[in-house]
Amino acid sequence: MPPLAASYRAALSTAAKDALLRRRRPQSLPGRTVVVHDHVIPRDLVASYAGLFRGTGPLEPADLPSVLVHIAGFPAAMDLMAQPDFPLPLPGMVHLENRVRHHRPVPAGVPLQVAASAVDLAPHPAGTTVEMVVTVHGPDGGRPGAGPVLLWEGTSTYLGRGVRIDGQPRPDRPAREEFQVPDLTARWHLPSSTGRHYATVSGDYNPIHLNPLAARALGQKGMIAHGMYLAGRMLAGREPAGAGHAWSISFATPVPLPGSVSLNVTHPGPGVTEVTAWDGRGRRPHFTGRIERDAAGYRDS
Amino acid sequence: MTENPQPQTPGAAAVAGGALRQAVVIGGNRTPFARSHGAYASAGNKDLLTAALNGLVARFGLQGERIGEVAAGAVLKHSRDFNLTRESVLGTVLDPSTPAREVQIACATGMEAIGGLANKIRLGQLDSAIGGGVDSISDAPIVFNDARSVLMDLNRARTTRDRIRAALRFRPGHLAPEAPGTEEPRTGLSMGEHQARTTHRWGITRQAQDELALASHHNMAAAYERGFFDDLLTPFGTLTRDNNLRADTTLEKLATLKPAFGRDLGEEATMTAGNSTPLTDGASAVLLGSEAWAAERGLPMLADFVDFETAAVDFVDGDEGLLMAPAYAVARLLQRQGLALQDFDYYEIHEAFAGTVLATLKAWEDESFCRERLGLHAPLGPIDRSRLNVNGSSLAAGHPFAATGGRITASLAKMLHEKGPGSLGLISVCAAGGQGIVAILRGR
Amino acid sequence: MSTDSYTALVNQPLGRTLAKALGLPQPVTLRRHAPGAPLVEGSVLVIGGGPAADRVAEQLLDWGQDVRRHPAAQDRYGAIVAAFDDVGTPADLSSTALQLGSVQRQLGPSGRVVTLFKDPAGTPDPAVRAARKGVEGLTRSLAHEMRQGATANGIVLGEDVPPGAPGAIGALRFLLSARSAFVSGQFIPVSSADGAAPRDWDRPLAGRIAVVTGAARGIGAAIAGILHRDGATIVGVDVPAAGEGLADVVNALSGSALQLDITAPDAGERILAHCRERHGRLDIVVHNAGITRDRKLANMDAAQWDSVIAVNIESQLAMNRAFLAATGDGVVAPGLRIASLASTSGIAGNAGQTNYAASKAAVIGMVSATAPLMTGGGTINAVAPGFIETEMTARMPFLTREVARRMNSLSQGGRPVDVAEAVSFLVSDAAGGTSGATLRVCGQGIMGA
Repeated sequence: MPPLAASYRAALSTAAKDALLRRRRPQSLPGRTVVVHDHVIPRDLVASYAGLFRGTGPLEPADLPSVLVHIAGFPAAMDLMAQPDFPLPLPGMVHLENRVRHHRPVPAGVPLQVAASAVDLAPHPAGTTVEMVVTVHGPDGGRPGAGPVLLWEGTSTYLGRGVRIDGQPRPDRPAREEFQVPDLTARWHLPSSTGRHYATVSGDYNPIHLNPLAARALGQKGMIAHGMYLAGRMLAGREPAGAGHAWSISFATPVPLPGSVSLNVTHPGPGVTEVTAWDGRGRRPHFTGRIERDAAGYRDS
Repeated sequence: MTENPQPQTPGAAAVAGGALRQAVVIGGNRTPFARSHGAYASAGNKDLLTAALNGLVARFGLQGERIGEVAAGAVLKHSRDFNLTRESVLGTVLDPSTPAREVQIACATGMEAIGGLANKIRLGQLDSAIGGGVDSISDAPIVFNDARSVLMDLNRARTTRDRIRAALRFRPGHLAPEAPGTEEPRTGLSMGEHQARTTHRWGITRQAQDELALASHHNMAAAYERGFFDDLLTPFGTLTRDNNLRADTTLEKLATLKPAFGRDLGEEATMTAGNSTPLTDGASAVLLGSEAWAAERGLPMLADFVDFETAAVDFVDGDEGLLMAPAYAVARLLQRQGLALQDFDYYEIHEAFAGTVLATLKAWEDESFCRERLGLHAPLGPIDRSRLNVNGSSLAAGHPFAATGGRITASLAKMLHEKGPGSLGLISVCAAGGQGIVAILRGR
Repeated sequence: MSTDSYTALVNQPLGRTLAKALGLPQPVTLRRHAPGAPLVEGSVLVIGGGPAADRVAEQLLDWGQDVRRHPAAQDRYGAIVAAFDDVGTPADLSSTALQLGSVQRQLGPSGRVVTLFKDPAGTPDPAVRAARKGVEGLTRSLAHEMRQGATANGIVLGEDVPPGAPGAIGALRFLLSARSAFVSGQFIPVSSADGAAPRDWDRPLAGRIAVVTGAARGIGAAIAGILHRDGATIVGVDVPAAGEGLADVVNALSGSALQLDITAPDAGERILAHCRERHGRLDIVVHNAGITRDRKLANMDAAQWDSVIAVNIESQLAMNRAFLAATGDGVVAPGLRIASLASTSGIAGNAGQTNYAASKAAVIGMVSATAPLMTGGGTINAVAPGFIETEMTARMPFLTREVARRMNSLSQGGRPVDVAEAVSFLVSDAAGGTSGATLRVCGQGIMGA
């Protein structure tokens, strides 16, 4: 697996060169797929991940929680995004959304095949979005010859702010809906160490989560929580054991650190959990999420 | 009441083929309850529990007696107090060969301790027992979780290099304490915030909550005045009465208080410091025994401990209110004992918040709740409010979590004894984690 | 309890020399009772010509004492018993009195002089009454002359009470013993032949159920402790607010605690109910609970006056009514024994204590009037403590305290245990011949002499 730090270094140097040479980024996706064979998610990562959500950890520690699989596959996506042939510059890129289908349990300590590709470069009122698709395939589950089985697939949507692709129309900003504060059912208190703690587990040392000065340098008002930390916390205790679920999270505004997040969690239907998170004063939403059990189209027979 | 269907061996314990026997509440003792960080700021859990036990021993002349078992616990306690109850027993004049164990089910700890002991007495495993609980927020352990992990790593480090590496991880911010609280780990909401949702959902008015709080203070003050607590309480330190009690409070005074919980509900926030219990320090203990054990020692027999039931609800994503479990437990207990909600002479519903009591009462009257949630054909119905918490409850006394069960059990047993043989009393105690314990006592 | 550091000082060699040179009082550490200790340290001289002397000598021999009937210059005496039971006219006092004087200096530390005579009121004959009354004056004065912790007291026999009556024997033993350490210049009237000697003089209250009010601390706690030492099972009573101390006291004595405001109208019934339920009986009641609300009468408000009267005497009257009404119901023993705490303030008066003195004098009146109402051999008596070292006296200003504690023949304050010993004696069967009396435990305090 390509190391994340190397990807960040490459991305920063590409961005610096772009700025220095007034070079334009490419106008299309690279079309490559980064494939990593025999990737093994270490078992001790499961324990350190569980420590992130002390008291509300995964229900079934033997199976990897969805966000931990994302963490494991993320460097492959980063490897694509950090290259000079990627149309959106990595620094300042905004994480908009994640959609995951967690088909089967993903085991730790077993060789997995991780593939990452970029699809759907699309215009956005604030720039251009790209979807990074990561798939995780595992051993055939005891059916010789069946080949690797799709265990997990996740799509992450990123926004390159201010980036315009030639010939793409600039969509209008949708009318802003007044945020209706739902019933409070939970509140997360996030200490300033949240970003550091997540970084030590994920290996993702993006400075906007770690240091208020660096975050300000990168255009934020201060340190913000990692989107996948929020996703992980949303799923903690709600993700079914044994997989077979789908979930999504859509980010509206960053969650400042330290800070607290108000949440509404409802069950609008059987096996469905919907989450809305907002700032304590109820002025703006932070994210919405949805978890569907038995929705990934697969159950072990 | 249910009959024991077992074949009976005369004289033998029920577990050995004999008949079930009555578990009798002989009496109780508690310390006055103190608002936290006040009168008992320098007293620990062990001091308070030992004092409650010593007062009980003095009241019933149990010096040197080997009690069958002492069960108690604290919701918040130091790791060094792993054997809190046993240590407390050793600090009393009870026979040191009296065994003791820890019990913990949040605010229902006292009820669980007492109920479990009553069952052992009924089965013939114990002849005598003391159940109770203690809590001291003032003494609660302060946790430095960040510093802890560094210190543990430092402790585990084998080489100097590892030690230096571990030590370098230490930051001043690690010393920020995680204060003990009543926050639910899975929701991050305090108990009051949770109850604010439930109170709001059940449409309980501010007025109704304030009236319940007022009644609690006035009832308890009147009970003190007529000496009701003379044989239920032993002073501790500087206190001779619960210092949360406000005999002179009025609806007008209560109405001036600003909402303390559910402030995000804006105008619809109704829960104040006046209709919610404050954090409290205190301890309680209840003496139980078989009829024969009590009779041999000339000890009073106030009430039979008939039965108890524990329930839990799924509160995490707001499907049910955090403190609504007793509503479910009562339905099951009534069904088991073939009783109606209206069959009781006294109701002791722990006032964690006025809203808890009122929401529970409203739920029992609610057709769809009783049908859909409790699985009943008809609502349990209303109770005679003049029989509710007649000597005050936690809004007046305060609520040292694990000590509340003992306070209620001893008081209710005395009330039922005064009411007369066969009178019935219902106890309902909600607990953190969406749990609750309810119990039935029968006067003798 | 306050500490009498002066007494400690003058019992050091240097302090003793200093006190002697300066002519200061020289209090000694009094001998106090410990179970198993000898009744008297040294031999006992018995003098006097009447039948009482023979009976006393016989009793003392029975108790294993080294008894002498004739003074000898080389003897050291632990106690001297002077019987004046046969005096017919004041001139008859001479021989025994002078004999007593001749051996006065041979009395050891914490020694005892006990005079024995008949009740002056028991005779209409002026000469006989004069003679008997003379013994009182002699005894009181001798008590003032006692040194080194020695005391002088008298036993007053009723006209028809033989010197061998249980009450007389009991009073003799109490006065000879270290139990009466702080009793001096006092008289124990034995007005009937009721009572009985205990099977074991070290456990005279064995098997008795004793209620002690105000037991949470001070003198009440000491009374509970001594009664328990003497064999009684203690029911400690105190106001609910004193419950913590009460629990500590009864737990140390394996008793039971009853938190109760004795001014409650049903206090007596509640005590009876407790005793009925727990023990099936009630043998002894000690009315010890009392309060002070000191103020000059001119500054006294109604609450201060009324609360002292309510607690110190009205409550006792009400409880006694309940106990007497229940006598013979199977719970209250037919020979119920009541002891009530009075005070030397109630005898002599004390500035700032009109309310307290009224209540304590009232106690003295109450016991004398209740005595005839006691049935089945029951008795009621009062104990009037003088200056006793307690938490209460510890709060007195230093000089006042220092003066108050020296104002008696023993030049020191008494201890709560001294009061408790007197109470324990009065509620025992050995004091069954004494009822309606008030015994002062004051070291022959000047106040009210």
